[in-house]
Amino acid sequence: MSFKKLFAPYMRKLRLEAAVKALLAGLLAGLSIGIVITVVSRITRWECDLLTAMTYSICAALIIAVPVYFIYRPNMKKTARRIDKEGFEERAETMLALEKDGSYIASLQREDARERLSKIKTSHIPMRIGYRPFAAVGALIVALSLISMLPYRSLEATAEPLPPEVVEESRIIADLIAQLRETVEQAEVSEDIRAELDQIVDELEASVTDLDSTLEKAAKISEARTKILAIIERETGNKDIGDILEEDEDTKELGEAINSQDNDKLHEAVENLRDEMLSLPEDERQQWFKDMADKLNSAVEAAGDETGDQIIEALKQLAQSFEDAAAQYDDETIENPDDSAVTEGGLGLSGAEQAIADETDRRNELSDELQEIVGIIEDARDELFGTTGGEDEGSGEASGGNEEAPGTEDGETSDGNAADGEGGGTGSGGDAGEEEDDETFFDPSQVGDIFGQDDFELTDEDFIRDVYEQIIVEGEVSYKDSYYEYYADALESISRSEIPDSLKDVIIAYFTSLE
Amino acid sequence: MITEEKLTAFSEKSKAIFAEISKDMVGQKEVVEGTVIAMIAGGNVLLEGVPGVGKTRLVRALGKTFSLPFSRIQFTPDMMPADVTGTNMIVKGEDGRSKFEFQPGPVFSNIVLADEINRATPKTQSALLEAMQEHSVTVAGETRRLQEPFFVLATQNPIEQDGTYPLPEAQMDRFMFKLIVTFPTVKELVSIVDMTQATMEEKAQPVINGAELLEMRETAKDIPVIEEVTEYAARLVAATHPDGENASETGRKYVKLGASPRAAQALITGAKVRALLNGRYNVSIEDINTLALPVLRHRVKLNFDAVTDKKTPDDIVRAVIKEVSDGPKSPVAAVVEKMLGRK
Repeated sequence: MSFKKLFAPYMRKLRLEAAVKALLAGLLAGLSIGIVITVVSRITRWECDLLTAMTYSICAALIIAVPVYFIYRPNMKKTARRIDKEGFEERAETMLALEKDGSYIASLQREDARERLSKIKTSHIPMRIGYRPFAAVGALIVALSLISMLPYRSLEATAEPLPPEVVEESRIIADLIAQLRETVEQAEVSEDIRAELDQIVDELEASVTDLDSTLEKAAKISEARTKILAIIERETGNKDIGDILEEDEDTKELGEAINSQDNDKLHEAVENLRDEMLSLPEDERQQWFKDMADKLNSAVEAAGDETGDQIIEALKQLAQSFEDAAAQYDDETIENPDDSAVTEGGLGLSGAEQAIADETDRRNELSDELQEIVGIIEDARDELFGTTGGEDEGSGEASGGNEEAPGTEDGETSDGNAADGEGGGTGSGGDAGEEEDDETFFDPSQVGDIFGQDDFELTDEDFIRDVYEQIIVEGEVSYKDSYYEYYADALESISRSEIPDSLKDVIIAYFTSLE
Repeated sequence: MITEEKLTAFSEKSKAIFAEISKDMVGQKEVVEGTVIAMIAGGNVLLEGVPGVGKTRLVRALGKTFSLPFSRIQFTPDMMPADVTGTNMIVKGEDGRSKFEFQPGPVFSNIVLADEINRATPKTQSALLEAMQEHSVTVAGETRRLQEPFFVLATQNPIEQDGTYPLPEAQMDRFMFKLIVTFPTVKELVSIVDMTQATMEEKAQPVINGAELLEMRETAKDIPVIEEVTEYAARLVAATHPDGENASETGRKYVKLGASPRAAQALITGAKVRALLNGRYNVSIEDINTLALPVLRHRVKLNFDAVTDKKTPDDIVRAVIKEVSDGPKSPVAAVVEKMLGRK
């Protein structure tokens, strides 16, 4: 029997062992590479996809597995050595070495070896693999699984620092949302309504996060704010004192005068009231005082307890003086109650007029100051866009609503004011109310290169007229479209450190009031 | 040329030798086997052990079994070299004239028991050197061959005893084996007492003569040894050298002087005999490993680190055997081998 046949069964087993070892070595290499790739992709910006990682791992596995197989692949000599190591005492190797030796001792040795080998089954040659490689493969699989669960390093951590303007914009947006939350918190509404309002703010916060455009963010915030204020107003029913007074014929003129913030109108309304009071017959005056006092008290009550609001305080005082005047008629000690009542009422009217006028003046002064600041901003914008005026009226009237806009320091703001009147987001002329969607105005930034490459002379009147008309046509844009664009530009400008911090809030309030 | 008859004779004679020796020796299987192997291989043996463990008895039993002239030299510190080798003496001839006649010393025998050899002075000890290696004696310029087979079986007490002269390395190297005769176990002691109560005389009978022994030696020489086994023996000896390129970690750390090439020769020669004694027709690595201790323990000189770490020559040799058996490997290869096994 040839040695090849003799060793064949053992060689088959050892070949299988070599294949298993190669497989294990390949798995170890492939899994190790997989772990390295996974770790690297987690700590760097390299987001390696599964296919790429698997390709590298499989290549590493093959690079290792193939040579390992060939290293451990048995030949006759290796098989003989392996058999000898299982207690065969070098009989197999000696037998191979003496294959061509014809001496007696060599043949005797071969015979002895064959006889003993025939008693050794392949099961007597155990596979030398051990538990270590299997344990290592298992450990690597577990490690790879765990590492794969780790998230990729967030872009915020790895990305370059955000530019200051982006950071600032985020802060401003967060501040606006925080102010909305504060408004909701301070609103005197039921818990259900408050929950509804909180949800609106939450949805706004979530939706703003997903948006990239500053313009869109501003529009979302404005829309939410309008909605929230409308709900609050609907629930509280709080109206402006002037509006409430306007609802009654007897106090309508006074209400209109308060809303106009025009002291001349106020004086005229007060004079008319005095005239009305004096025109009444003596026996009707007491009732008139009582009725007026009731109406004023009702109006004050309907407007909400705005302690600190000087106008309401003045109206309260006026109502009190009318009550005192009505009481004169019941006071028997007074000889001529009409005179005292009229005096009482007149003084009350004068006092109220003065207080209201003072308050109106004070608010107008604030408006002037704000207007001055807005003027500065507009001048700056004019420099950017190369335009002059145009928005002054809108700025002036819109500034009336700035008092209650977020970020202002005026403690006398009334949340209801922003929704109506001249402060209600109107632009130039202040009467954009229902005409908001259709209103247009001149925006120089929309004007293209009208001069082209042609030379021109300033003395050419026709040319100048043509240019002027072209400017007007091209510059006429929808207010709404342009507003949001400016708002976005303003937010971007705010993010730059060139704008003083104190003006940033004013700018935001200004644009909010233009809605 | 080895023949079947020679192999048969070898097998029968070896069985008979062990059987006869076992009549006079209880236990000490390794010592008996080692001594027999050395004698068949043609080597000298150094027996070390405390007094009364049977060293001299073993040698006497061997002398009887092998049916060879046996002489005993009891070494003492005052012994002279001439007491070992012999000397010329003035004698009166038949014609009445005085002449010098060589009187052979006790070394002129087939089996020489050099009892307590470490008690003799180095000068006297060296008198045995030529006899052990060359199997000849030179006295007064004349070299006389010793009769073959010639063996020196020396005994010595452990070196901790006072009044001894450690054998020089050159002489130690001429002993094929150094065998440690240990104190018998209780069971063996009982058997010894029972045996010697009857009679103290050796019961062994001659079963082999010198010629047969020489024939056994020739037979053993023909046992094949593959290159791997020879290389393994060579690596084992080289590993004992601290400065060699194949030095083992243990050798580098604890060995001052490694084994000579005689050690490799002794390993192979002895392994052939052992293989044949075990009924095998080839030398195995296991034969080498088994004989490594008796071959190397007296040839390896330890350094001071071994003394301080309380390492014995046997500890060193065992460690070297383990290192050489595992094979040299780089750290990477060690890890690969540990994971996937040897290739």
